[in-house]
Amino acid sequence: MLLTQDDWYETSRDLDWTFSYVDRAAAFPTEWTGAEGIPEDAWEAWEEPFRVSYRDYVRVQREKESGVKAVSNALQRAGSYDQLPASHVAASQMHMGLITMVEYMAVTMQSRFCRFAPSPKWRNLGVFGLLDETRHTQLSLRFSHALLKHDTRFDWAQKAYHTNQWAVVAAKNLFDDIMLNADCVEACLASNLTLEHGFSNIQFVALASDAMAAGDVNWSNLLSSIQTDEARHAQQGFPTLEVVMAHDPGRAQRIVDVAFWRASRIFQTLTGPAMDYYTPLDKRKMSYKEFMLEWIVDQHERVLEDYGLKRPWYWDDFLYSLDNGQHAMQLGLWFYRPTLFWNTSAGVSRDERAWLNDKYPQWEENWGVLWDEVIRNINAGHIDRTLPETLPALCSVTQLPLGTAMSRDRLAPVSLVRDGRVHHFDSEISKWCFEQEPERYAGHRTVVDRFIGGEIQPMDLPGALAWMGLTPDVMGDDTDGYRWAREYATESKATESKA
Amino acid sequence: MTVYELDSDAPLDPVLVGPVLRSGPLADAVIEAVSDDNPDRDVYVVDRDDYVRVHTPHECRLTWRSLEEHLGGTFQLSALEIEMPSFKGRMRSRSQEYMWFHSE
Repeated sequence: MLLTQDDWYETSRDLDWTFSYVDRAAAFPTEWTGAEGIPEDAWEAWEEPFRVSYRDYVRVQREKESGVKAVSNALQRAGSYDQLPASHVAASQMHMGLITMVEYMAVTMQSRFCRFAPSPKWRNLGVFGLLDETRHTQLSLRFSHALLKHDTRFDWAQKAYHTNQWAVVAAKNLFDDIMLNADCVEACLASNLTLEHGFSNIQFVALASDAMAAGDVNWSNLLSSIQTDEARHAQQGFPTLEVVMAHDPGRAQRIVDVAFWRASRIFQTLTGPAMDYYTPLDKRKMSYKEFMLEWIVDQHERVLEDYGLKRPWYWDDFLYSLDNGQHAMQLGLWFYRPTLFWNTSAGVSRDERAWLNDKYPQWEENWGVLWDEVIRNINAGHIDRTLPETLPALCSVTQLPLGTAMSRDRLAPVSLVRDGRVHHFDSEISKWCFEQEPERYAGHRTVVDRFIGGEIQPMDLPGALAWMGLTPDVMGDDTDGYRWAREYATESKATESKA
Repeated sequence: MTVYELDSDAPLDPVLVGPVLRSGPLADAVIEAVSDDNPDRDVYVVDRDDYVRVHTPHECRLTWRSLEEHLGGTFQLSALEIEMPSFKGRMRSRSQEYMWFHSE
């Protein structure tokens, strides 16, 4: 009788050996495994929820690759890129610049699992994760390379993480910590569990659906194909969580709570504006907040409850931030547009504004009034007044501007002094993250710290732009050439003449 | 057992579990297969155009046999992954059956 996979699977995936001439502790140091305080035999309970054999893996991945390549080739031939809305293209450039090299960082993380994970079953699965992430890096580079002839901004898929551009520094700061500078347990709980099971769905499934509606079949197909790998290897997080919860639940809760907040801030910067401002109005499926409620609250958090994790202590503030953070970041992205390597869509025409007010009832009060000032300056011909002259103060944990986590009514300074240095934070939550491991964050210097330290010369905005690697061919501007503001000028004139 | 198509922007009931699939013939076959494989449960479908949620309350079973029947040809369950960028709930996979569930 022919054996099925179920018959042989369990003997195929946990090849391990007893060390005779080296201490196990030397072969698997806890600094790398992250298994300190967890009995060695506890890892025998580690069972992957989503099984995969090498034979199936190769067959399935080959089919995925053929599908992505066929769609991509057909659309390149059809010249579909030229038909895409400029604001949507900006979202894809932002994605490629900020995410492509993160996929490569994940290759390193999965490699660490292959070697140092405390369970042989986990080490086995790490191989598939490593191959997955290699695929994601290559797919993203291939996609961007094919579009270089249209726009040099796609060069930032490879270039971004070799620059000091501030959004890249913020993203790198997070992914360095949770992928490269973390032991296996922390990397798994922060990256596989929190990022891949939770937040990457927002970018790779939800935003992919917006991209499909906007006509970008190529990018949408690439994103959702990548996420089919992520959905599988993210499952490494659950058996790891189960083992850690049995022996050190406080540590599991702390790792997840820190990663959850830091990830939510990065996705507020990357995905929030793309959904609420860059996607053409008639193509929007749902708001960023609605997608977050679907994927993070209803889907991700519900599974964590099953394992005994509590919601983060800052849950109410997280929900409050869902109504505000992405709007604050959007205003900042647009205002600081020369500091970006993608163009920015304002996304506040009359109709778009009505949509924002419908989705976020406090939007007008919190953010509309600030956009009114921008609109007045544009229509008065004072574009210079809509551009920055200085750099914003940045958070010591998220590296994002102070005042962008909550509403503009919650701007009270949050700071602490450590070894004579003042650290500022974008929220009480980020300050709490810092306090969990001050030695991890204390040495990080924000762009402003480097500016004040004299690393950026000349010490002015052009000096900062050059230091960030921004050249005139990629420097961001308004995707619509400010035409969206004209309807406000027409309406004011009509009101004046009526009066 | 009834198949309900929920409004595309309807909030999800936390008790629902099951796959999230890229829209297409495989997703359509999964809806039918899940209906057969979960005779005592209602099936909730949320179609967001690019992706489709196929969920049942508390526990959702999908067998290779039902899926083959509705696809009308041979199919290995491991190939479901090609069109499945996500799923809701915990998962247990075997070569002939996938199961999604929450603790009661």
